[in-house]
Amino acid sequence: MAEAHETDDRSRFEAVYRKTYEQLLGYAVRRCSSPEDAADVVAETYVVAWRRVDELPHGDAGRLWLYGVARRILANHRRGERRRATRHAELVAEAEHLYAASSPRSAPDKVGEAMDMLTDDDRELLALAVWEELDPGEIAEVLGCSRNAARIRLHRARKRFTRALEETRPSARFESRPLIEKESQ
Amino acid sequence: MNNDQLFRSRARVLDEDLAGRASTAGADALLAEIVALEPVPARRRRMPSPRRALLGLAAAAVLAGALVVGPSLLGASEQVYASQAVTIDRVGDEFAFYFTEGDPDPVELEKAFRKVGLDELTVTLIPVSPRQPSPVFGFEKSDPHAKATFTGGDCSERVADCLTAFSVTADIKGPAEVRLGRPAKPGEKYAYPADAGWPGEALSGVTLQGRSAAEAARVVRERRLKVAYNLDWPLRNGDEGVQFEQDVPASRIDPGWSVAKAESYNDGVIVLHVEPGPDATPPPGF
Repeated sequence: MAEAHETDDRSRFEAVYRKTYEQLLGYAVRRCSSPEDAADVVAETYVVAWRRVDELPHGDAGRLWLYGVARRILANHRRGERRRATRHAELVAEAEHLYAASSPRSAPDKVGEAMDMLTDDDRELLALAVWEELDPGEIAEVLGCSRNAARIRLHRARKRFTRALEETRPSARFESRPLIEKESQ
Repeated sequence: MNNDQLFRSRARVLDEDLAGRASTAGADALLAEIVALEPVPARRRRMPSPRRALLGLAAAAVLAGALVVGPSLLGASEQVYASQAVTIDRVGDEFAFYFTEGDPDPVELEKAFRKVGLDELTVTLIPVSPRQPSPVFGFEKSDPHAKATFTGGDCSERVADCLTAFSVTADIKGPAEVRLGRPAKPGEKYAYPADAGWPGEALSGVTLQGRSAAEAARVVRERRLKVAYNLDWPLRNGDEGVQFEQDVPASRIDPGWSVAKAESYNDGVIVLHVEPGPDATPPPGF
């Protein structure tokens, strides 16, 4: 019986892995500054998922659960607590290609500056909404908060991003004035 | 281009660019490595042993004022609540809490506490140094009969990626507060001290431990920081550890006494913990 149970666990985990891998890889690559870190986050996230396979939700909720795990692992990395759970040279090599292929940012990067002006929390909320294309209910699942809290925090993060963009692009704000004057004539 | 599109344009890669990646050699190799690891479903996870629970005290930072007593891990264990941020077990006459979020939402944690009937248990997040290597945990209670046990240490034995854990008697009465450290924002004052010599802290790379109080104070002032003093009195009963006498005036500090550690609350003041010399007389209560 135990063996049958483990086979079930394994096939379910494999199915979730294949279904969510691209999104988890994207999540990690978008947030990590190096391919090694991204590979670590992907690997550690799935190690946790495997060790907690009986808690891994079915369906799309599984993807949100994995984002939540990846988020905590990233936070641990940022605190300097790195654990290399597996060896994954091939995964690192593949991630390196993704980093090499991404286009370098042109300087001066006003959008980047505006993003840097946001708190980590605001940036992550916007990233979940825009990069992972999650709605507030899904963001709430990832962050472990209420849907309403996610909705309000996202609204505020968008407002702060708009303000940051205005601060980093003062010319854009002033350029709009002549148009308004013309329209009012 | 609207602001969302601007944000999106900064993504290093989009999911749609990764089609087919789930079946690359790297993905296959990782999957094979992971499923070769032994799975640890909840039904097979171990409870922390009393020995591990005691060691947990040394492994993590515990707030001053927190009551930490011997563990009580007898009785059957049953998981009664689980979310992204916390798992709660009922263990005999106690609840055991396993925290898995580095920067949790207090509202969510309190919701979890309410689910198990702890209606007056609140959560406060306190800013701590982002360089803090171990979770900071504190507990204040009004019920003199309630017992709280810090079981941080190896709590990931019970719940994967657990950061810190504690147990409390299930019938605790009156208000009680759990305090968890969260990374302070730039410029924000810490509610729990950091080692001033850690990289990124006020005296990054400077070691004051072992220097005389006079020399340490000079080094601190050279960096345009203020000095405050604590005296670290040995415990009266001879047990290992010290009792801090806080905000001691400089006039009571012998310049030759040795500095045990230098702490920062990120507020421009360095707190020098000084070891009183062998002839020093402790004040009443120390």
